[in-house]
Formats: sequence, C-alpha cells, structure tokens
Amino acid sequence: MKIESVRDLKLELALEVFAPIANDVLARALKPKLGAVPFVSPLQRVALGIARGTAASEFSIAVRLQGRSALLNAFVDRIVAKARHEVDVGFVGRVRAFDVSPDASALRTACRPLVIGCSLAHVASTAGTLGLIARHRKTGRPVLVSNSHILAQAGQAKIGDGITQPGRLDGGGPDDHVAALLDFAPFKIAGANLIDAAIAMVDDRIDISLNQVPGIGAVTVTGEEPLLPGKKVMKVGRTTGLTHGEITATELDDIVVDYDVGSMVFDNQIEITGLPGAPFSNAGDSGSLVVDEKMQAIGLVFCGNPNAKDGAGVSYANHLPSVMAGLDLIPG
Amino acid sequence: MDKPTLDEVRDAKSAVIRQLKSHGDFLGAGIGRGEDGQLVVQVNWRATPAGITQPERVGNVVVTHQVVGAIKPLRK
Repeated sequence: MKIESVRDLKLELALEVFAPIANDVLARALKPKLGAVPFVSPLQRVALGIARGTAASEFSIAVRLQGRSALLNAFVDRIVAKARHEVDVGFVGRVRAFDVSPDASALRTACRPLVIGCSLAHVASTAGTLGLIARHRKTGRPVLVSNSHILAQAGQAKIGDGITQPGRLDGGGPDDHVAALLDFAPFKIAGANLIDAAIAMVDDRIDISLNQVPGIGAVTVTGEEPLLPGKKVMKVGRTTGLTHGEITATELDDIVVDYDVGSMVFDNQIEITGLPGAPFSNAGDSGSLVVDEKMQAIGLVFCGNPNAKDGAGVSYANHLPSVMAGLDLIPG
Repeated sequence: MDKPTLDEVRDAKSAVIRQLKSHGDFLGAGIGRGEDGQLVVQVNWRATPAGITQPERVGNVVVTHQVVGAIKPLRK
C-alpha cells in the first residue's frame, strides 16, 4: 500500500478500536460507582502503526499486540481482511516506559522492542550492552552492534552463534534468542587494533527501536573529525544506566587492554572520565553507545578502570566511524 | 608561549610514544587538555613509572601524566 492509504486505513481502524473505549470511559466518569473495578477492554492491548511493506516505497499496517484473547484474534482477522493481508502483526507483550533516568535494572530484563542500552550477550557469555542498531551495507539487514568480547567471545565464537537478550547473567536463555552473530573484527595480536566490535543479525520476529536511547532520546550517527577533549558526553549501559562524563583524551594510541585471551594494543581511542564517585561505566557496560550533547553518537565503550582517578574512573571507547567502516555498516 | 596547534600536539604525542613505549607500565598517550584549556599530550601509566624521568614538555607542547591502573574489558 502507499503511505496515504495506510494512514487512512489506520485512522479508520483506530476509530473502530478506540471510540467504544472512549465512550465507556466517559460514561463511567459521568456516573461513577463506588468500588467499581475499572473495565479494561481487550482492545486496549492493541497498538496500530505503519510498517515497511514488502517492496520499496510500499507500506503496511503494523499491529502490535500486548495481550492474547479471542476478541483480539478476531480483531486482527478483521484488520488482515481490510488491509488485504498487507499487515505486519507482532506480539510485544507488556512494555515499560523508560523515564528520564532509566532504571538500569529494567535494562537487564527482556526489552521488546530491543532498545539501545539493554543487556545482551553471546549465548555462552555473560552480559554486556547493546550499543547501536545499524544496517549492514552488504545484506541491507538491521544488525545489533556491540563489542566483540560481548557478541563474539573476543573472536572465539562462530558466525551464526546465538545472541540472547538479556544476556545469560541476567537470566537470558534459549527463549531469549534475538539475533545471530554475523561478523566481528578479529583481534590483531601483533600491531594495534582500532575496534573491539561485532554485529549480529536480528531475528525477523524481533521488534527493534532504531536510534532511540532510553533517557537520552533520538541520536544520529556522526563522523565528526577531529574529536577534541573537553566534550561532555553521556551513555546508557546495562550496569550503570544513564551516566555523564567528559572526554579527557582523544587519539589515544598504544593503550594496552588486558583480555582473558591476552593483552591487546589499541590506537585512536577516546578516553572518558566520569564524575567523582560515579564512573562513566562499569563491568557490564561494554558496548554502550557514547552520545554528545548534540545527540550525536560518537563512540562505543569497550574497556576501562572504574576505580581510577579517585572513583571517577576512566572508560575507553572506539570511534564510531571506525566501527561503522570496520564492519561495513550504515546508519539504521 | 604560543598556543600549540593540533598538528604540533600530534607530533609531540608521536615523539612521547617513541620515547616511552618500551616501559612496562606505559599505557598509551593521547591528546588531552591542560588546566589552561590548551591541548596537551596526556600519558597514561599502569603504575607510577620507576627509573625514568617523565617528560614535561616537547617543544611548546606540555606533557601531562596520570596513573589509571590496569585497563580491562567491561564485560560483567
């Protein structure tokens, strides 16, 4: 369907769904009954939107279900018939609003749609953070971007391995499979690395939230050069949630990072210092997207020492343009 | 003294890395900012280095030093 047709149909369906509910709420407000249990229509468990169609420049009705009932099934059947099967139906379950200061514990639960900052990991790993949802240039598919040591066991994993959200340490199991490992930047033992990054192809049935960082808002991916120290930045991560810091060094070369598989050298990294007693990142925040005050995404946290600098800690991030180029990505 | 340009700081950083790279506690050098807001070379150390004189300046570029301890990946 063309976008105008989808919008018209969505409006028609929305009136059908919400008018009876609005009438009921109004009636109860005008004639309140003491102790009455609020009525919740099963149709309040449905959300309507616009999804991509099967062909370029085509669109379909998006139906997102937050409950299961015979009434909902019948309603969906009616939508499918009215839209002549140009419908994208998905069950999203109950969803939670992230407020201005997202509770990090919420990021360690199952987050659908997938949001930047949530817990995830390779099936055999522990837990890290989803940094970005980008598009893989070669396949055109949306991919999850995080560190290699989160998604690819620091290069020890096999392409196609499962990724769970949340990560195993946060209770993620086989039912929480959301993606499959697609590619990673292999570590150089001799010489300097630029990125610790990997990507995973999102399962078709999994909804994603592109470029929206809980507690921060919509971000853009930038290739700003040169990046200079002094810039204020923020991030949302699985362990510490939303934190703020300042870039204290750029173009950092010859930094040595102690991995389980051995020490690796990195060039052209970004150093970020947190606030006293509130480090910018901690264990579990690997993969977090670094965003500046102009809402531009500039880096991917991968290592650090939260105890350095009297508790302000130091965190190190890969340059996002290096990650995008190294894994053949374009903004989502 | 003239404010150093970005290219001068980059050149100074390369010189500092060449000088310190072989030290076991050296953890890299980058471009930082001094208290006066000017660009400086910032050197990171795993621990306070013993047995060497830490450079304080390369030409008109100030060199600062900080101990950051061991740097590890932030996986939980």
